[in-house]
Amino acid sequence: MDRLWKFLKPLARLDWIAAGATLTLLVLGVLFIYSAGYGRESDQWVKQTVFIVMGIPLYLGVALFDYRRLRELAPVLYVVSLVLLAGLFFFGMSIYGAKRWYNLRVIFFQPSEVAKLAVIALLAVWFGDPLRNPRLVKSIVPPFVLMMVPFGLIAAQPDVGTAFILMCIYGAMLFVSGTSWRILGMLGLIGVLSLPVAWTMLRPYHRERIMVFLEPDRDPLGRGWNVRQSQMAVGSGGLHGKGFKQGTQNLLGFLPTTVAPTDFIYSVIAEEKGFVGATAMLTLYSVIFVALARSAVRCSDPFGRLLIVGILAMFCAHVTINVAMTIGLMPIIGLPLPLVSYGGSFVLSTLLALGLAQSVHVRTG
Amino acid sequence: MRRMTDTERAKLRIRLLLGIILALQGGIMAFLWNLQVVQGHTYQDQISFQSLRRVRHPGHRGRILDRNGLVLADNRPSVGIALYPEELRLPGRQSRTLDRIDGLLDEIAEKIGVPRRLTREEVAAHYRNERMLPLVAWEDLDEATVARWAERVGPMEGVDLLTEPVRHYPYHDLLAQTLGYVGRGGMADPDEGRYHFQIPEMEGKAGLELVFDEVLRGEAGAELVRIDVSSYKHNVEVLVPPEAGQDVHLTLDARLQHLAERVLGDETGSIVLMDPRNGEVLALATYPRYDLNGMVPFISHAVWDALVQDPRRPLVNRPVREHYAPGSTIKPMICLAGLLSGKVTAETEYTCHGSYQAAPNAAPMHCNNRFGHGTLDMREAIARSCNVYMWEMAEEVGYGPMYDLLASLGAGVETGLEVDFEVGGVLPTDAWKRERFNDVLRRGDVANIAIGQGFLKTTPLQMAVMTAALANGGTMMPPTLLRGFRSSEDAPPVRSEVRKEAVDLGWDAESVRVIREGMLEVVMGDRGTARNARVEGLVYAGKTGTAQYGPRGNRRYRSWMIAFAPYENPRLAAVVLIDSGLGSGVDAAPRMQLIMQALFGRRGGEVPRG
Repeated sequence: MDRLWKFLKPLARLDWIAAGATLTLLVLGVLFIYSAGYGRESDQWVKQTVFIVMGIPLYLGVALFDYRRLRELAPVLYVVSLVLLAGLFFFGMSIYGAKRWYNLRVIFFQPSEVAKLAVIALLAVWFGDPLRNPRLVKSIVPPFVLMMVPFGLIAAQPDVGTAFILMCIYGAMLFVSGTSWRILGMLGLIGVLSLPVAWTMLRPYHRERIMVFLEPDRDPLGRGWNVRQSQMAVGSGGLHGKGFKQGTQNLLGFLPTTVAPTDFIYSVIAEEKGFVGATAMLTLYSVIFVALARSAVRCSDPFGRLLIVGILAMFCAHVTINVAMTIGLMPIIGLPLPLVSYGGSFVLSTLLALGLAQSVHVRTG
Repeated sequence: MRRMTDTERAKLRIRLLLGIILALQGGIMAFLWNLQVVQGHTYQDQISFQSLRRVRHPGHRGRILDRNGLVLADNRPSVGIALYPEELRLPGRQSRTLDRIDGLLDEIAEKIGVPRRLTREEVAAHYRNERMLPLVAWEDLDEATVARWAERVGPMEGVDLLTEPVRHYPYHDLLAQTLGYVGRGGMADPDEGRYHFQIPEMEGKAGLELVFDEVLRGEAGAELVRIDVSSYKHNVEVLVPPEAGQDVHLTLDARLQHLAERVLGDETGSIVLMDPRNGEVLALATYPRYDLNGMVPFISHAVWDALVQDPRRPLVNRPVREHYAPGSTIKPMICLAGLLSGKVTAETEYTCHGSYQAAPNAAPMHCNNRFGHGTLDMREAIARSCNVYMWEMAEEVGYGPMYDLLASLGAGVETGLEVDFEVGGVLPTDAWKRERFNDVLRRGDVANIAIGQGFLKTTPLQMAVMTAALANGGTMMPPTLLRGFRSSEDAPPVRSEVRKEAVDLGWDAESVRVIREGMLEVVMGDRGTARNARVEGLVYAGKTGTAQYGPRGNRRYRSWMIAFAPYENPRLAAVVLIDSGLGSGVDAAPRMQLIMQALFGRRGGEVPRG
């Protein structure tokens, strides 16, 4: 009994604010998945609930796991994720022409979720080494290469959105590692200069999406349809929204049923709960952002600190990009909204990442 | 200034990073404020526009009437039972409402004693896609069933009788091939406007229903239905009311048509009755026919297969769609061509010994009287239908005048009657023969044409036009079936399209008189070939014809008779053709007699029985 108590003791030190906000978002997610499926008798909300029920022990379990052991595990994790990513080209399941998943029958497993965490861990090891001077170019190039390998594999799936998240992770961790402004400026310049190259490497439909974003009336019934209908849904929500389950855009099928509960769940929320609900949702996410940042600041171990920064960057990039694209602020790149969008694999991996941040938090000071 | 430790710098950078993140969230919120609160109304308007559905409602289809106003194609109300999903919806899951509808169908089926037609899948499909429209569960119920409905079920919430128009042909097979039928129409032209739903429309598939489809159809209307969030009907805002189609009035006389069909009996053939004064077609009969009501709203496989496989080909509208060797009925025209050419006169005589040789080495061709008619003049030659006379005369006159006359009467080309399909027959030329046989027309060919055999082919309708021209003294009247269109009962029928003009062929009156006298002899003369077709109290003229076809040993005969009546101031040009008969005296002349008897006889006006 005592041993069990001792084992569970770290949970008492959990960041309850972050945990509370996480749970609230999960519950809200189920409600809006239900609403998005209302009128279609979809049972997606039930499946999502099952995954959440599985995810909470995972979250707590990871929080009990000592993140410091990840230092040794990081290279292994990294290599395994690369193998899994490479294997996709041979054994992956093709959906809409993209090979992003392994079909494990119970769940669609997306190796890029593992790759993101592996990159975070590996970069935390690298930048967390106190003997390394982050102001030197030789300190920032190897991690860049380490990030670029999975970046290339993921972009080739193609999954430009997730690849872009890796960039954000690298940028944020580099920034926090304390590199010089000069290097940051140079990297920024290189980034801008490489945009035309990136443009030529994009697939035609990606280019078309960006063109549609720049010029929404270009193809209103084709590629412009989703974003246009989504923006209409959000816009018509007004201040207070139309009420739970009353979103006409979603119910009338103007938002395609395949995306309403996944990538476009935020527009369902914004339509039904209006500006008040939409900003409340963002505020809940911001609570998690602040809590993560606070944990990072409190943490005296550079590895743990960078781990949290990487998780924060990943989590925040997902949220910001998803919301921005559903309301028409960004071109559509298919990224789900963490904790809220329907999708078991993504719920589990998000809870895993947030649990890891908790693991750092409970072992701090 | 003290240099920052790495840890301090990291903490500062984290705070900076958080600042950037929160600034981004703030930016998104500002954007949301603009989108949702400032511009919200614009988007709400756009949304409400999206909740409108355009429904296409066809116009009431016009009728087809005969010259006396008898309705040949009508719309009959079909009483059905419809369910209105918006009144039947239950709160909660959709399947509850579906269960309710399903249960109702079973319940009603049992009470009215008619098995249900819709499966649960069909109900669900309607519910998924068209729940704003009534779901028609039973169609075309008979009176007894409607009575059972009223007694045992009665109007209840969400269920009621629904009356829809169905095409109906009150005289069943009368004028079947010409009248045609309707079927369920396809989708409207996308240019007409984008519709979410289309109420099925009747569309002309054959015959006059097809020819005048646009006139009969009228203009479809559009209805804007506002639907609520669950796509149930909320309210209806009529946009454009449908416009009824116009009635089509025919020149055809249903009583004469009936007479012609009765006279034809069950012999495969054609009868055409026409007014020689104006070209109006009064009857266009053929046998076999089929019941038009069996063709709507759609043709069942069994009915269609039976029609297609019937060796007598009931789908063919013989008077206009088949061409035949006209046989001896062409002889008046040949004689007229001779007279008009000036190379022969009415008094020109030839001697018939029973046979004729077109060329020195050719096989002799025989006259219908093997022993010869002796010496004949033109009137006698027509009256007794002497082949040798025609051959001798044709040799004298040549093919040119014959061709010119037949061409001016429309041989070889479609008459332009308002039917869905017509053939033109064959009026041979050198070019025509060269194309098929790599040869020119020979004397033997011309000799054959002179007695209505060989390459010459005409339709019964073309023969009626020729007969009418002989009757009216030389005017080619393009035949027509259409009197006009009428949009309301009060207005007279209006003929919008221009009729083909009648052509005065400029015949010499004396020549026409000779031919007419010859034809008068055919019926009224002691030795006329149609003397058995006389009608007491009527003086009329005609010409019989028997064209052989089929292999030796199983010879069949096209039995023709053309006639116009009365002899003075004719009001009727008539053609009788029996496709496969024993000879004109047996098959055609007695039928002509029945027609003339009914129309002009002392005991006239009576339609013969059987």
